[in-house]
Amino acid sequence: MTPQGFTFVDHTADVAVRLRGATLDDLFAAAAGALTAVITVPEAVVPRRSFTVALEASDLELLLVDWVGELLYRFETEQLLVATAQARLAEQGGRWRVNAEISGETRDPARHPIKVLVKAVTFHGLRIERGPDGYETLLVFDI
Amino acid sequence: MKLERIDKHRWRIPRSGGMLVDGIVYADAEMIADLQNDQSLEQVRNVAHLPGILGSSLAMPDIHWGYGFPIGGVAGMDAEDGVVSPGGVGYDINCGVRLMASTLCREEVSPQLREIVTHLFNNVPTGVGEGRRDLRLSDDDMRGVLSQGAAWAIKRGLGEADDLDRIEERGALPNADPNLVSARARQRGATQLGSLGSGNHFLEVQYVAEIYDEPVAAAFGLFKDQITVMIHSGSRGLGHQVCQEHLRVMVDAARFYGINLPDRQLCCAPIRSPEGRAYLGAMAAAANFAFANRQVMSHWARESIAAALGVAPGRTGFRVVYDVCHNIAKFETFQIDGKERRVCVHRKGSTRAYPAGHPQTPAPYRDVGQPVLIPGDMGRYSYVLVGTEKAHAQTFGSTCHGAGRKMSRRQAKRAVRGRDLIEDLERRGIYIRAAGMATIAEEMPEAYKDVADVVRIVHEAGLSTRVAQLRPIGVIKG
Repeated sequence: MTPQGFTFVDHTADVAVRLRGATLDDLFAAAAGALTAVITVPEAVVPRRSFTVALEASDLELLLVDWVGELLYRFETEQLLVATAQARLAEQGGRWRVNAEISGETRDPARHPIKVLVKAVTFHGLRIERGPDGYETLLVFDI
Repeated sequence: MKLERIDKHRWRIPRSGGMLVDGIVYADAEMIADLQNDQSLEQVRNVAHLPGILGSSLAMPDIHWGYGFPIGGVAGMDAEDGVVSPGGVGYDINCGVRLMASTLCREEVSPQLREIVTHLFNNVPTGVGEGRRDLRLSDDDMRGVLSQGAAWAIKRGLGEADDLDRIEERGALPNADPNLVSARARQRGATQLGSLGSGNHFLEVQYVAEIYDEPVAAAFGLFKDQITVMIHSGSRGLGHQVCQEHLRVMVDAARFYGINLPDRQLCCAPIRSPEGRAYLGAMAAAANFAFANRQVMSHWARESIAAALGVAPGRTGFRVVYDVCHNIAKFETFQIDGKERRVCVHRKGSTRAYPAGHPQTPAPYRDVGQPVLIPGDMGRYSYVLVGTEKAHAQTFGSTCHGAGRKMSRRQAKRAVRGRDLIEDLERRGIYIRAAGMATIAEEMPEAYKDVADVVRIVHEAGLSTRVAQLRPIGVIKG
């Protein structure tokens, strides 16, 4: 596991990552980092602009898909690559919310070569599980 | 899993547990043995649980693991009482294939091949993000694309009026509702019309290497050594966004309607429910975006090849042979148990294969049957087949769609290490340009199964029969 909290898992048709975090906040931050690492060289992405994201869903897995889907949408429409994400998760009345502060930069083709382009974030194998060291799940990107 | 052999090319997964129908897989013994190692047979069984499924949960010989539904899966749902599932269509709504044939022969273009591929690469956007700056869509344009599909592009001068005669559904699904496509989906698509995308999408210059069925090839306008262009692409970010949003809605909808699913990715809603209707309207609009996308790219391809050869576009004789959807849900009519039924056919990695004489087989081909276009990998070959009565009777008029990967992207990159793949391909007479070097490695021919094996099964099973083989000489990719 990298310090960022994800490792790539071999997958025949698409790209899969295993996410891990001591807390749910860490797990969601790791998912954001994984998306950047799927698309480009993450070390080359620096925080130049920031924005906030607030999302809500009926369960944690749906929220994780919405969360990464939101970042993918920002990439496709604004070429925004995420450098760091600070996510705060909260449950209220049976629904989950994420509030996040995100920083990153607009893609510069010279510094940010494309590894692969992501079509979508899938539900495949997605099950956020709590273990002795925190939370863990597989996340598969459709390529 | 229990698997019974029906005949040489058919295997049954008998109905059990919550399955409403049997599963039937078209494959040979070797393919079935390979499938034991992945989840795709289980996915065929899972699809058999969907309310309103008719006949059987079907899989074509290019079956492989997908999201919820297997790739190569076909499911016909009762249009009155059945469900629609975005997972049965896939993220790339109306991903499909278009074939154009010219009056040019191989020897006429070979000397200018590099020039042709360079022109194509410069004129047809590939890879990340944006399409051409000279095609930016206003809100009205987007509405036109989403409701009219390929016809919108032709009205804009991007194609010939008779192109529509040779496109599945004449290049537009009728029940599209642009108002159901979200602002986000439109925004993802606004700059992407007329762009190829990445991954396994491609535009190839090919030649007709083999003719297997002379009369049908002649009816399709194909002859040996003829130059063709094949485009494999879909609805780009717009379709991906539509799928993502509706999957999300359907997870909650399936719970609401009390539909028990073995896999959340099979999430669905009754066709007649508000959620089902909303998905079908948005999906049809996204499908129309894809039809327009392939239309625009084929126009630019015609222009590019003519420019590279230094002739007027009309002199190359390029015309559309056919354009098929292979990720789609459509309302079609079939005889089931002696009764005519309206069916919502989900084809996820499967191609329609209608026979001669069917009213939906396009008029120019009604005497022979509908052309079926099966793309292969960039180093070997693709196929043209023709639809059959047997497909209409057994598989809701459906057949296979392609090869499918056998190596992961990482394995492919490892296998390529130290090899100059571009040079290797050039030695085989194939000139390639791609936006990303990693794409070439990941898409290496050896990373794919041999499409000839898949085609052999559907041919022998009678779901569609071989007409011609096309070999690539020029490729552009994302």
